[in-house]
Amino acid sequence: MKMNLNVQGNRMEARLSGYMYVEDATQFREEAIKKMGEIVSHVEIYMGELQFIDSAGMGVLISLYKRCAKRGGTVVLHDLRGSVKEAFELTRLDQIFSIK
Amino acid sequence: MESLEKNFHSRKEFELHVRMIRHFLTTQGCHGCDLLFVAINEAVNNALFHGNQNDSSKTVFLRILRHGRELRVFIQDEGNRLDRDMFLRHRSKEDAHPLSEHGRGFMIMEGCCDRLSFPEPGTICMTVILKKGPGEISA
Repeated sequence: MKMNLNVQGNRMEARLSGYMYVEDATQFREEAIKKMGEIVSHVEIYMGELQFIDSAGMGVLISLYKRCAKRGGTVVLHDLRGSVKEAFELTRLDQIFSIK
Repeated sequence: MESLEKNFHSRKEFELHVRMIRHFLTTQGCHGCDLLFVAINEAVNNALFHGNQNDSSKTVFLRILRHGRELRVFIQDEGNRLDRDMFLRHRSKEDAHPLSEHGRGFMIMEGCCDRLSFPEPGTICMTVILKKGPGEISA
């Protein structure tokens, strides 16, 4: 999986592409939490080029969501497609995240 | 009957077979085979990490059988743990804790197939009813 994380003020933008397997999810969690530091409260994640996510990846997104919520912010997911979108619907995560 | 069989001991070994597994699902006319692969991946993780407890001396057996309009995916570990009761226990926890950072694998397995069964402890079988007939290839 490729990831590109950029922080500006209290916002982080993440662009994910490829396949997020369990080992990629661990790396994403570590890098995202490090980048967020104590400041970021709002995260935008662009997933249009992400072709696969498993439950470990979903767990990382929930972790970021809870971190942002504690700081009064949120996580917005963009451009979910194909099996990624279907997996979010199956697990009802589409009812938790703001999805655009 | 067409089939695919793969055995592995770790995630790294499983990843070597991913392309072939995906290709097999596609050539069987499996509508939504990408989603079925998500379920297979979850079942494999469960077998490796919870069934075999990450013990690389133990094997995970994957068999995919095409039988008429049914595609049956068997995933067996050597932990002899998973059965219907255990599945239902974990599944209800997943429902009860929507903001948990763990779980959802069973929810995905259940949602991605038409029938879920446990032929013996440590073996899960996910059955998908194919929309296309035998020999028909998906576009």
